[in-house]
Amino acid sequence: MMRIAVCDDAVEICSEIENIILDYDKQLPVDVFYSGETLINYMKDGNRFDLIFLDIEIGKINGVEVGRFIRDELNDHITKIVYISSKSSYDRQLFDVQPLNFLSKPLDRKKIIQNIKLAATLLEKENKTFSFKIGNEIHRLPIKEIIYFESAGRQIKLISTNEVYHFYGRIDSVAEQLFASRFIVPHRSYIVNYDNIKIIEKDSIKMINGDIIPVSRTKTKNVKEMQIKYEEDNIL
Amino acid sequence: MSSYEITYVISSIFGTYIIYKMLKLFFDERRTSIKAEAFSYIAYYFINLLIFFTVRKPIVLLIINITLFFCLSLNYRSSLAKKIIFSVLSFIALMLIETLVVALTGYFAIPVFGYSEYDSSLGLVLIRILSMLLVTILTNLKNIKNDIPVPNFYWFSTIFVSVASLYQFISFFTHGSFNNIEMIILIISILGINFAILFLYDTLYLSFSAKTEKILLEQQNNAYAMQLDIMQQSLDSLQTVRHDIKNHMIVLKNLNSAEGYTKFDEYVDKIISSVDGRTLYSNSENVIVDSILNYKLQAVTNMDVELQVDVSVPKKLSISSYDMTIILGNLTDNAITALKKCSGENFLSVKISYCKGSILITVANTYNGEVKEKNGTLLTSKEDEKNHGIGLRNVEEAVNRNNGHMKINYDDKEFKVNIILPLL
Repeated sequence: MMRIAVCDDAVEICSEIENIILDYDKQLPVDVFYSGETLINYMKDGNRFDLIFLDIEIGKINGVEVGRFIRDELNDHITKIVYISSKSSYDRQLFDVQPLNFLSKPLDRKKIIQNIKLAATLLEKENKTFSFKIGNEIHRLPIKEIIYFESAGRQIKLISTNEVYHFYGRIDSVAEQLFASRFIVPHRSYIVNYDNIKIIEKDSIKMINGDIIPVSRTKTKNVKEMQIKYEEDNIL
Repeated sequence: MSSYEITYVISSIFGTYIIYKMLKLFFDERRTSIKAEAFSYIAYYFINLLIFFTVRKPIVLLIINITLFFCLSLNYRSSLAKKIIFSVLSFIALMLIETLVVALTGYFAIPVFGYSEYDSSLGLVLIRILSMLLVTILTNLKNIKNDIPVPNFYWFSTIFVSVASLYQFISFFTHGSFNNIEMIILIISILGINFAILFLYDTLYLSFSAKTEKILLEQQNNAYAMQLDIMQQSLDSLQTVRHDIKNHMIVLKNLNSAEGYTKFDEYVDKIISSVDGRTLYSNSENVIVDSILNYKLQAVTNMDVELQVDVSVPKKLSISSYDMTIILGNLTDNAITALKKCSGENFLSVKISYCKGSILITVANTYNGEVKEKNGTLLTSKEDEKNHGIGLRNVEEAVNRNNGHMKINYDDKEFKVNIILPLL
């Protein structure tokens, strides 16, 4: 079940969004926060959300800082953030948080529901698991925790958000298993989780954990094509 | 001097010019002045003759010639490695032709360390003309690579004239007997013809490249004209607002003093609703994106089209306003033209978003399903093909300039262009 949070200092906006969500699906649990601090404190206690509707212009700690806290301090790159703003112009730093979308006030009911649906589809994909064998033990890892694979001789190195695994295998068969998920191959020794990319540059890709993956010249076009393909899914 | 020596002296002028063309092929930018460049080639000519009359050992000639080629390449701006490689390469190319001709005229065995016994005047002229053909063909290939379209007919004519002249020269040579003077005149005229045709080809090439440049300039002008239009438009609307505000203020001032609060309040409400009524499709504060979209999309307001605009991009983008105008201007133009031609339920959606260091532009619209395609590129369905066919091509060029990527999808109802542009 998807967990949703709404964070806005204006009570009426919060209840508007809450009503739209409950009207769409009564079962969806929605938590409401009236300031950035309360949301941060709640998350500090280990609580997580799948989707947060977050106002940019709120009280002492604004939406950018809350977003940054989630990404950098909590190291949580999975929670989807939808920014809400009365303006429709955004500073560059907002984009570093990698928000799913922006909504401008007055709010459009249709767009809120579209964002919930989009987040649900993405979550479903990310919650699928990747399985591999170390010794006789079969490991299963949710796709969202995988940052990238690197081939190292006869072994594959799997860099996840928490750990590094080594297992025997071929990079092609890894790619086959990930066929339906959002991965790209920027180099013949690497397979990268698109959703855990921070920035794609001309000849390298920076991942959320700071690792830099090379992009080979023959793959640049392919990387861009895949980027268009995956980003198209994100368009409402 | 033997007739062979005289032929050598004359044909070397031509040979030097061929070497000049050859080096020009590899090096674009001159480092020295024109005078110094000309002087170096003249010097090359005389040193070459000097060597010809003094040493005739092929191995010495080879080393000296490569060295001289390298010295000539010093005239041009490029890396040392490139200079060495291309002077050797040029030499080998010319050398191969020489060997070929020598083989054809029956003097195949040249002892590398012995004395050169090769002295056929016919062979010498053949060598020069074949070298010229090689240079012409290579130059043409380079021009094609540089996207300067010299029609095939022209360079085919060039080659035809030199081949024909070569044939005539050979038949004269084999069937007639001439004295030295007649021989010299024949050689000079045959080389002269080839020299002239090569020169004409170059002039032709220059005029074609000037034409291409002119077209490019025209396109640039069009883009700027579009930008000016957009600026004018926003200036006009700004003036209207200013004018309106002044009038509103006058009314408000009167209302405030005379009619009292209710009327004042009503009037303020009226202003607010009129301000809201002015549609701004894009309000991202990215001036160039906003102005293009707000200007271009006005055309859709009066059409029965469902319009969706969603722009969420950083205020500042590293893409030049020139390229942005070309991309967004042409895409929206194309979409609107297509929409005008179809009836029923229509939509146009323009979405620009930021993702992982790039921006993604998506323009999608309904259309009548007619697409003209040729060799994998889309052609316009507009009447005036000559002028409109360049729209998408310009977009693609602008996208490539920014290391981006463009993808076009269409079925029988919807036409969609996706563009990814990396930011710096």
